[in-house]
Amino acid sequence: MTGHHDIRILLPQRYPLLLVDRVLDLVPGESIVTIKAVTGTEPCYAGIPDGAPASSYDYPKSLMIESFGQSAALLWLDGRAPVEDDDSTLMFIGARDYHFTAAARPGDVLRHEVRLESVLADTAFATGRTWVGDRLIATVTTLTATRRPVRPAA
Amino acid sequence: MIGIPAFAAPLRAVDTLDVRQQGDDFELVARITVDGKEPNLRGHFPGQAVYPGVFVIETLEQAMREAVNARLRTVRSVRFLAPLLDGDLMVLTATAKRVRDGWEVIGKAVLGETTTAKVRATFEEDAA
Repeated sequence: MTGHHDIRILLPQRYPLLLVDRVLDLVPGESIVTIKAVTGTEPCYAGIPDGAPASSYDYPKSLMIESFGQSAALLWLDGRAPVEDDDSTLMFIGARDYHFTAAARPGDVLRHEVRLESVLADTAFATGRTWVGDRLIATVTTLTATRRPVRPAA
Repeated sequence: MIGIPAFAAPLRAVDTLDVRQQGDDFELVARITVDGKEPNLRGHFPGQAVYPGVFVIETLEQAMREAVNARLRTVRSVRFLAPLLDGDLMVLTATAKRVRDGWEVIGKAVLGETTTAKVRATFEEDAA
């Protein structure tokens, strides 16, 4: 099991956009299971006015995808910290059929199950699902990431 | 200018929004200037602010909520082609075609003449 202190070594994102709390299971080169706890103190809930309907507290889908993507990155990195003098970053470059089936709200723990489908050169293809308990929250057919400099020199 | 969203959102992802109705369908143009001092971008990444790809999806979601109170259901495909950095102005143009229980949306984000993202998605009407 990988704790949050290890995740901070492996991923470059920081508060409030480091969206994986813990790795529950990792099969190198194959699959990973991670969790991200959603709480009412998340910055995304700060601006909601009192009296807003329950659905206002649906966890943002953009952050759900980011959290899944960071889990996929942890699978791909496979416990290896990025090379220090390498200016390239692991970047999310695309997805196919990212489908949301239910909402997550404060108190829910997102569980991402990610499977690495293939790696071609510096590009990885992953697939997976997100759960809260036994409730399916999202499915994704393909998520694509690559390693490249943030903005190549002109 | 669009106000702060009254629903859970990582940031205000739309500065201005133009909506043009064409029968049941419509076209929208959302603009956002990337602010490297925004808390999310301080964390993505420290020392190098990059507008996260998923925030292009957030921009589309906030624009669709503002325009027709619709919710994202499926990202059919999205491709991020070029990064957006501090100070960049992203212009996201999308067409939303009315279907039985929502909208089919095709969008393209540009930075000047560079296409930064392409997205196809389906949205549903707010059930609440």
